Amino acid sequence: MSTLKADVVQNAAGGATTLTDLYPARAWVTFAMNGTARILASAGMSSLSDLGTGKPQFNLSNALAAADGGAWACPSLFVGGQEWALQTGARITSTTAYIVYCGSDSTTQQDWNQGYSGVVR
Amino acid sequence: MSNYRVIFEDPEQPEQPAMVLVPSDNWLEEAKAGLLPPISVYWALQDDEQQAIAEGRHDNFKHDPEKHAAQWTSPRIGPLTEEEAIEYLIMKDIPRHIWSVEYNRPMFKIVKTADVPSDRQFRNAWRLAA
Repeated sequence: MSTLKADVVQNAAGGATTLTDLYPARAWVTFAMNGTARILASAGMSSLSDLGTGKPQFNLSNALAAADGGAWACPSLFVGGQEWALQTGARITSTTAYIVYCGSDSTTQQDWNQGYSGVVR
Repeated sequence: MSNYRVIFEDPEQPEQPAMVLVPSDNWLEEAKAGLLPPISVYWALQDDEQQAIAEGRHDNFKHDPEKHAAQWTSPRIGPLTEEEAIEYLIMKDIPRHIWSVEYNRPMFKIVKTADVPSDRQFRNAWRLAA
């Protein structure tokens, strides 16, 4: 068994590396939309754009190589502590951003007290 | 947490309520530490992607590998103050037509975080005050 020690790993062009059979998240975030929308913790995110009720857009620190991949979101704290069946979505709109639709117990979007989200590619 | 937020509206989407840009603390720390590439690196990527969208080939679009790698390989611009970092973030994360074109009223405003309303009851009716 050998040990690899390095501060930075890059591909041949100096960009983000590809790991064989591994697909780590390009970015992740813990966020809140109640009160003043805010990022509680994150990596690979430069900002959140609060687009309206239950509709955050996450802006990536670095662009993806292509506008595909997968994004997800799930709530960790519901509004008022309720446990709801949710319809929630996340859509990659460009190589630099994706939008999350925070669901509720109805067809309307809701400002989650806390949610998790991320993007892989 | 940042002292600032940016409130903006999109003149191309007049029905959309005012939006609020919230900086990431991690990203701000990188900006203050001087770890960001020139903004032109991101603009070059945005230009290529916008052209692909205009030509109807966004579904199969991939960035040029060299331009994409420039996000990590181009020389860093050096440390920014928080105010400079917010200006950089506006140019990176807010659509260019919002801040680069002169309209008959301001389309964005940098405000103190405390000045953003915390009552979201009528969130989808927010407008940018003159």
